[in-house]
Amino acid sequence: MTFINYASREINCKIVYYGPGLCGKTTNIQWIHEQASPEKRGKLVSLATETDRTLFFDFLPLDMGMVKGFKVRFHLYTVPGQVFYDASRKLILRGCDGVIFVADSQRARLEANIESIANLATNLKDNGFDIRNIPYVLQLNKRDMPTSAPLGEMERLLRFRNEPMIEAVANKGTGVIETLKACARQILMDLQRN
Amino acid sequence: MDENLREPLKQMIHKWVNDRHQAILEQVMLTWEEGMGRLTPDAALLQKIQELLEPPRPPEDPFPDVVSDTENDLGAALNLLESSSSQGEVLKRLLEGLQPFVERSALFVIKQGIASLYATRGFESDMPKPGAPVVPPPELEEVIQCRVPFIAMPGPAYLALLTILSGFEAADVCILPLRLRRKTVALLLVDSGLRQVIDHPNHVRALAHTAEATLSFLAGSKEDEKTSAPVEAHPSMPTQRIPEPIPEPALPLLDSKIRANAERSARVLVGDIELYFPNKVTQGRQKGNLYAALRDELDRSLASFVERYTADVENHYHIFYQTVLQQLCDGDVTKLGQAPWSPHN
Repeated sequence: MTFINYASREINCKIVYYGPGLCGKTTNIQWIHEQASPEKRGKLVSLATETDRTLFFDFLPLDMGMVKGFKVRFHLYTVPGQVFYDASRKLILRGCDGVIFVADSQRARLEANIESIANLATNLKDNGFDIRNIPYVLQLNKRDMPTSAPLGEMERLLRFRNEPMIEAVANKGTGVIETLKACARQILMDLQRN
Repeated sequence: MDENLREPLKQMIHKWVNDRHQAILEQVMLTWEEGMGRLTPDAALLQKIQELLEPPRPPEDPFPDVVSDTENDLGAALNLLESSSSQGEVLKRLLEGLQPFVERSALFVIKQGIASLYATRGFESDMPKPGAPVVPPPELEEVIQCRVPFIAMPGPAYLALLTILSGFEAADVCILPLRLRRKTVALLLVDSGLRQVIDHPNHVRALAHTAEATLSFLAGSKEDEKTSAPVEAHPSMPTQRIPEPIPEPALPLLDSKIRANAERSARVLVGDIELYFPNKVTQGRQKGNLYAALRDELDRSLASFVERYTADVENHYHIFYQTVLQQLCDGDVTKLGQAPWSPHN
């Protein structure tokens, strides 16, 4: 739920990076953190395991400029990708304004992507959202991998509502900012409409 | 009359009247005293009066009519359990019968080493999910394996079961196994809720044992029905028939779409293990102890699978197990080691 502070003229929005294990969710926000100027970014908080895998979530506050006299701040979250951390994922989705689904393009992970989208739909529903109308972007990550599935096949399997679909190589920064902008745009448009 | 005679005559009559009067008074007093003497109560009358005044003593009866509410509740609960006509009914009635004695209670059914929530009483209505699985921690495993009779204090076992029931930890707890033919088939969890202690722990134990006995009786009745056909006697036949295990219910039909989803979920769960723990997987394959090396990960993944597709599906189709076997063990069962949920156990 977007939080608008009229006294300090701030709008706070929550974007959640969702996807299967090791698809590149943390890599996305690490890239954003590295690229954002220090005065616009907050501290990147990561609760990770010993092997640097996301245990609970990553969190990055990011200022995105002014809209109609209000300072817009996005809070970026990632979820743990492993299937059995479902309770954490459900909790992190609470009060979100938009979702970026990071799909792993490797053919061996196609099923994991499908499973994760199904899980996202369930968890959004449990939080009172509908996956068909929440601000949503599909990012096809790891497009540089030799084992990546063709774009058309991925679109057929994973795209279900004509959402923005962006090819990415997150560890090189390709498509990362575009993905974030595409989601932010939908959230702000929603905000304007409502 | 001569005045001189009048005075002595007058005195003589007065004296006579006084004497008579005195005699009459003495006679009245004697009669009164005699009468009063006759009214003095004797021992027999006093005994009778005492008997009448004292409340009747209750008869010396081993089953007195006047009993406490707790006794009545226990009796009602025992009657309820003993009149159950199916094993499912026994479990439901056990929770019903326990209501007067404990604040909160829950039953978990044990299948292939996993405890699945069966029914609850007293827990928050929106929390418990029937069928929700719990992978038993070692402390609970001791109870399931019949190495410990029960658990009577909060600890890892209680917390593991409580996770799917409530966020509130009670001060007093009891976890009891329900066993059938020396095998734990269910776990009963009771706790004191907001109170400091469970008021009637022995009543709880008594009811759990009665439920066990009723389960055993019903299982025996089923076998009797099956084997009621006359069996030809043989000199070498044992005199006491050894009961066969209760047959599994007929294989439920699994919708092809659900089966495909279940198989995909299992592949993704096992795939996650390969992705996140490649070193453990390699070592486990080489040493033939994949389960020992990845116990937590495999148990948690199975719990996720069972939560979504139910323990029945896994028990009948072994989808998760087969996926582990094919994907992690390259089809070689010896690489897995001793997994409690393996159908070969």
